[in-house]
Amino acid sequence: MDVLLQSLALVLTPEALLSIVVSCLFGLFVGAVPGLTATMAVALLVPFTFYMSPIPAIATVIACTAMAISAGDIPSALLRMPGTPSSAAYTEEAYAMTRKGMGSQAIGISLVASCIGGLFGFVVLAVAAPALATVALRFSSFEYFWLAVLGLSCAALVSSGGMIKGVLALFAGLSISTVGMDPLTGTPRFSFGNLDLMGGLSFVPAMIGLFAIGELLRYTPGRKNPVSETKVKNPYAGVLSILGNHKTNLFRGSTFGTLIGALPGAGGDLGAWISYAMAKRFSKTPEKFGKGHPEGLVEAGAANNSALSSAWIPAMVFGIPGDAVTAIAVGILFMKGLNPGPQLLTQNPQNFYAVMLIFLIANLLMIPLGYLAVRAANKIFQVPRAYLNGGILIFCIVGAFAVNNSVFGITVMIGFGLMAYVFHRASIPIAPVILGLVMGPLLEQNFLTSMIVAKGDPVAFFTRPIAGTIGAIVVLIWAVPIVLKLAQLVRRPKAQASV
Amino acid sequence: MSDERQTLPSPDTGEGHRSWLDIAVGVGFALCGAVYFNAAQGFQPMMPNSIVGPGLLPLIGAIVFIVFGIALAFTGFVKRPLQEFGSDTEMETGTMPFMVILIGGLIGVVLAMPLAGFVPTAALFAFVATWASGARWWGALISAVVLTAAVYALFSNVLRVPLPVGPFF
Repeated sequence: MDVLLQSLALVLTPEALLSIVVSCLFGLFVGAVPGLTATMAVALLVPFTFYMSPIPAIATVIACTAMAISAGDIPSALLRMPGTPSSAAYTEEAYAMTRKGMGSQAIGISLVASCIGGLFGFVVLAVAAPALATVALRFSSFEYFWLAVLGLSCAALVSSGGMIKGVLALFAGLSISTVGMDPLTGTPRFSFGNLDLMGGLSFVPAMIGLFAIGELLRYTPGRKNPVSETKVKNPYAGVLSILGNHKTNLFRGSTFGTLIGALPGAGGDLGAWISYAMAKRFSKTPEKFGKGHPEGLVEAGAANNSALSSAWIPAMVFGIPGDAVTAIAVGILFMKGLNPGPQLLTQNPQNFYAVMLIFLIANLLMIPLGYLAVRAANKIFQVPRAYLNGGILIFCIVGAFAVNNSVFGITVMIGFGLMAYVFHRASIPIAPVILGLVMGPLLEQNFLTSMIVAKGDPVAFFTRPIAGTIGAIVVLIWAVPIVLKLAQLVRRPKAQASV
Repeated sequence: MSDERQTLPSPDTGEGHRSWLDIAVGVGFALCGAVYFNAAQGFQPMMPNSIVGPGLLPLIGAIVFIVFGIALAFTGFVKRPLQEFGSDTEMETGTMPFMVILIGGLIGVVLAMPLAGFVPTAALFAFVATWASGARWWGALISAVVLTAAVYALFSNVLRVPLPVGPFF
């Protein structure tokens, strides 16, 4: 009870509450503008978190992400343009509902299902995380090494672009993380005598470059703003009865999204896509899908936000981020001295429960703020992108500069922006780069420590029960797609020969 | 979740198409891997007769770049049916003049900001970028000045970030 009161005291401060409301409004705006992503919204907010206390700083990230992902459903339904990648899974369905004159319900369903899914994920996180933390306390460098490898493997393998590109993106991030001092011996690496490089590349300018400059480089000037012909009034009218008719979908989407989100490296996008496909697969009326049927919308809408909450399980318990946003959040936690891991839950549980409360508040705020966003949707769509670009660039410059009060940060940001552009053109995913960059030092430190303990014997990585199990899972995760691909290659010439 | 829609179809009109971009990127990664491999061998191991040390992760990274870079180039080289490629119009690739303005402007900011200060440099760059994005010149000017002043006031006065000051501002 004391812990809960302490966590309430941490959250119910003017600074924390103001951070939540402002970042919710910012996330709502960015999410509702087609072409700007939730990750970009978070990237632009990170420089502000330097100057905040730890809890308001993390509240900023949580509230902004939850709101941006939910607001992404608004242009998705009204313009057939997903505001964020998570909304893309059910854009066609939502837009088809709008064309049938059910645009208000489409947005209302998405918002309420997101809220319920987010709350479901919150409950799972609150129950599962402390239990997992007691197990994690017994972890050695071997277990942490394998967990990091498991998270990074999932991120590389499930990312868009395929396995080869995912692995290259991941190792690009890991390799960049080796710039600067080696974590164990302090040996300078790839710094070329430059003092700025000696300290390593900070993840903030890297992230701004990857997610903001990379996006701006893909902008085509002169493009007209989209206009919605639908006027949305009350998005929540009749939504509860629709959700009542699809209770199973709501529950299945929330459960499945939670499971996918808890898997390191997966994230809400994948949860929404798979949940939509599952809703269609198990539906009694699959022929209605794609023609404005709320069933898939309920399931996928619940899945993307529940995945968002449960992605924090590996991030908080093991310090292993599940997606790009939690990677950014883990970076902020380290910066603020709130090192994520089992100690956070056992030694400073008030901080963990404060984060939980922020989840609760952010998800509940989704309903009233979502209503405001819907009412202002057409005005948001009409904000000229040209003016937004100018504002985004000023924030990028200040954000990259403020890390070390040096223009070196801006140089790093330019480099990463160009890298994001090239990667995008080549269909190489960006999220594994940032995961590799954030996780690199942790992975290397645990790897080298384990190698020293094992005296260089790789068998030792499999001798401890938990480490061995996770290691075996990692080996399987890599072996199965490779074996399937080889089998496919072997079968193809045989099939061609028989034709 | 399409993975191939952004590859460029080859001018080759034979039985299939190659992805020249994948080939170029794959070769680029393999070359980077070769350079990285060479650099990684320059680090002293922590224990005698072992590779454990500061060069180990770079060494693994270099090998991955070489192997997977070659694999990417190979998959790009293998001809695939046209239907595996999506339309290029599906992807926003931006325009070259806008990219040059953006990157050139940012490099200009890096060079000019320590000398001229944050306000004039950022305002000028924001004006050029907004105008180049398609806004009217006077609108771009007003928004650049107002936004720069607002951001300067917020970071300098509220958040106490020491932004560079030039001879005039």
